Amino acid sequence: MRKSICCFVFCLLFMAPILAASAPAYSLGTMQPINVYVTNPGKTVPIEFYIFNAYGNRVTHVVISVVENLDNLQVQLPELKTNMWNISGIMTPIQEHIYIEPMPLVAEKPANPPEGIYYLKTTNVTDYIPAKKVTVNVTMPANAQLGTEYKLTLMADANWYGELGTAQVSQSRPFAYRLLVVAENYSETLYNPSGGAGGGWSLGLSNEMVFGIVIAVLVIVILFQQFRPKRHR
Amino acid sequence: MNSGRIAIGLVIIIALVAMLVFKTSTMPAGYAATSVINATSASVSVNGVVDVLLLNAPIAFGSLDPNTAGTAATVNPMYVNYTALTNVDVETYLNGSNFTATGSYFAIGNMSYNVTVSATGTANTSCTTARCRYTTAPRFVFNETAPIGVSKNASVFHYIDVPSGQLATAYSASIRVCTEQIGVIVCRT
Repeated sequence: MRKSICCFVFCLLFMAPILAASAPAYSLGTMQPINVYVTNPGKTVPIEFYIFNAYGNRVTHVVISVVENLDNLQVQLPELKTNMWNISGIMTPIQEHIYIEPMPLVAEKPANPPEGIYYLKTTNVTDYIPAKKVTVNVTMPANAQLGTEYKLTLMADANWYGELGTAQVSQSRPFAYRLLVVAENYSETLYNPSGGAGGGWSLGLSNEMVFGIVIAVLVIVILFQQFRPKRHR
Repeated sequence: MNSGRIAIGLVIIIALVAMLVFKTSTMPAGYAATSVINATSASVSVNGVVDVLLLNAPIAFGSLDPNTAGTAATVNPMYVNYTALTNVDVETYLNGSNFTATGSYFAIGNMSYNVTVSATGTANTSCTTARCRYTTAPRFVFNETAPIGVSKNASVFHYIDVPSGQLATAYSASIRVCTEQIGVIVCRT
């Protein structure tokens, strides 16, 4: 009896990793380093975000789209490829901008990192997150008004293949950006019609003028006092 | 009369002197007084990470007869795991597409779900106290405070109704789980 229980426990322990590996875990991890870009009229801004698959056990296939572009900015997405995947022996064509295999966290950056893999740090773990970078080029209008803020929203839609089910499940992740247009060269001048150094109340008159007016009023009052007809008692 | 003229002369002299004094003490345009302490703001941004792991997906119901209601998925629930890497507050929306098959279909509204969340999360109460039906438009289902080191789970329990008179064949649909940092306001559209 004891022997059979030990055998059963051993089998469970042995089988557990295999069972765990067979249960799909669909992972979509993203890092958005910047959400506000400062740019110039006519310039192309490389917008970047990262995608990772740290805890999943299936390849994450990602398609990127533009979901908000009210100002019709010129947006160049990465190349949409149709890759042929051998999924459990079945050749499957998949359209994707980027894919990312399961890549667990690593304690140290490899000396020779694989091409196209970046190692991200985040606040809450000491390990590095292997990730792929997505770059979307956005060209600002040449006649963009300085100070104008443009909005752009991208969406990453992730899909997984290889499992049959009544309802397939996908994940989506939006990335919202603001692009602020400024002049290419820095300049800073005081724009103050009164010409003063600022501060305090102002009627648009300089201090000299105010003082002059006060003095003029005083002069008029004194003259009036001096030259007014005296009453004779 | 003489004293009046003297007074006028004094006033004019005082005015001229005062104007000179004011003129020299006024800062030329474009320059700041040196006594002003200038403060430069220092800012740093922490990169926003959102990492969601789906477990027990895809959703399967096996073979069912027409005109059956409320059949639970063969593996329930589907877990929406906000991993420890996530460092922003997030919210999740669900929607789906209709069930289709060659020559037949039925609406995604025949699939329903209810949800539970972690102690730090909040769920759409419609979907915790009763079952919400899937719609093609996204519906808010739960949000979660930034896990930052401790992963958090939400659960989605799925059920299906098969309408009567349905053609016997294999139907499939797709479910979308859209998760965004709170404030982005895109998943709901």
